[in-house]
Amino acid sequence: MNSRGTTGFFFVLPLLLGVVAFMVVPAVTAVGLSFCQWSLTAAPEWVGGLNYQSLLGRNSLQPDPLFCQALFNTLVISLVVPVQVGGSFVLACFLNHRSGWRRFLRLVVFIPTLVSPIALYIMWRAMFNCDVGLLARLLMLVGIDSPLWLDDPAWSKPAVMLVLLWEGVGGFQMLFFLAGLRQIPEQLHDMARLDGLGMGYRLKDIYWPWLKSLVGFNLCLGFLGAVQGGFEVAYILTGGGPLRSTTTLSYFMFENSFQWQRLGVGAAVGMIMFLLVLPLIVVRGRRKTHG
Amino acid sequence: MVEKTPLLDFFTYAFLIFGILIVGFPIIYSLIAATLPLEDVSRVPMPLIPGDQFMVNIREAWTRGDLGTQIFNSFVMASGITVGKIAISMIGAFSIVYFDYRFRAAAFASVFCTLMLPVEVRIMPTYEVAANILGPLQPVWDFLHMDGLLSWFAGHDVEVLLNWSLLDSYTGLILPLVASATCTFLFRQFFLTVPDELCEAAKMDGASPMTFFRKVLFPLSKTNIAALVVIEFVYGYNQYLWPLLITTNPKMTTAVIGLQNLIPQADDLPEWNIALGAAVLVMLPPILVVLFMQRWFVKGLIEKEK
Repeated sequence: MNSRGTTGFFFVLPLLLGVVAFMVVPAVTAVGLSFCQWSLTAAPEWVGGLNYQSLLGRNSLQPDPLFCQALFNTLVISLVVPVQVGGSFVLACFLNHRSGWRRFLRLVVFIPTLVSPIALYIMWRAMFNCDVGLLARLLMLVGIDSPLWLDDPAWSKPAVMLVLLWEGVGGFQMLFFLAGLRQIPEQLHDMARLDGLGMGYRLKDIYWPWLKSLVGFNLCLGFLGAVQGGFEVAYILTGGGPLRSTTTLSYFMFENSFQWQRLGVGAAVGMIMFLLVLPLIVVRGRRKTHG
Repeated sequence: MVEKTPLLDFFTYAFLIFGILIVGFPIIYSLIAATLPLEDVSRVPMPLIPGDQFMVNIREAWTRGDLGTQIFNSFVMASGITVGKIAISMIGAFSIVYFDYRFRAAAFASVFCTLMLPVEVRIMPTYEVAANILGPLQPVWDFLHMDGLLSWFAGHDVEVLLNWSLLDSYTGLILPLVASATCTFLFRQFFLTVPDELCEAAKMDGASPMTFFRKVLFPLSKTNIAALVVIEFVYGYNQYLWPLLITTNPKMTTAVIGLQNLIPQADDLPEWNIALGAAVLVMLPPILVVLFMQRWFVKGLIEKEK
């Protein structure tokens, strides 16, 4: 329509105000805050790169062990992402039919994505509970002594990964794969049938070439989510413990900002998290512009 | 793919049923636990036959956690976010696509840039903004010497501190989550596919921009809006970190936060039956919304992320 004048500007104004007030201003503040020391009691005080130095270590000082642990935990837990993507891929291939009950199944496997993660993590806490939990009992049936899961630092990370895997397979990633599968021309399937190709060949020669860009996309999104997220799971399922073995970066940031009153350090952790995922954002953006 | 391979079918079905059991496992387990009295739920091993205490447990959770108020709050928050987000994004996208003004490119770029910002980085300063939303205006106020002007008017010294806190209010729960770059982007992409001829025809007929929006764009966008309603409702209902930060009053908090307070701590009785009953209850609304609007939901998701 390209009407000239200021009318159009008034339409975009509410959006702009919201974006500026709740996104741009906070983001700029966060950058500034990461160079300050602030405990809410006094005004923020400029300390330069001190927060970063104390986290990452200086020539004379060791890096903050708590930070290193959180970083390590986050990276270990994010190793679950490739498994998630693989599982979603297989599940999508199996559920790619329009018939009635598979449609129903698609909804069932999507439930963990739909509902509040808090409710799910409460359920899993009950499942992992070493006295009354179902897992302990099942393992007992096959004659294995159940590990203490969430009470044992060695087993807490696998437990968290198990929950994330359960939550993630059948969620958005599967949905993207399903959308991708729909784009494969029907003729390809017909040809495969005429040539009598088995499932293995079909996976290799039809599904994989069509879906490999989606695999990259899902891996990218998955790692983004794994590095930035992980707050709820640490907060509800494990409380970051035992012995901080499941404290993720985002939970560490929350602790700094809201529990230890070290808001500057919290902001610095946030910036480091952002820098960690920046390459992924760039790669994803480039993919998008290439079509 | 219309072919019959009985063996493969059998394996597929077996695999699927196994999958359902795994996915459904914690949920079924929770449902059973929610029907048991305390002495059964804490017995080792817990019986897997449902009891008859479901209503009792739910009622206990309802009163103890004040779930009624909190579920109501969750609904207010989710509906507010849904309506506000869609309205603001749609009008914003309308402006960006169909109008020409000096700052159009800048407006679009600033909205687009926020797509890159992770929530975690800005959540804490957002809290500061919400604690006093007029705070950023204070320097402007001081710079303009408005105090002096007011003092001159009033005839005595006046000092104005701009302060409007959004903490513990519905406004605070809703407003900061309403401005959405993703949603605006989606509407923009959709408006770009609307043929120019429609717009020109409307212009020929002397329709004002608002009439064009109401009579042409809005009816065309109905499918997208329906999909977004589902997505944003579920998103708003499941919000966790934001309500946790911004509400301290249990009367103002949401169901998801309320749930957390029902988790048995180390020194409490292990009343998992009550916590799990509440969890099942709080899980229901998003599932129901999606069940009733499944078609829109899936369509919207696929279009949204591509």
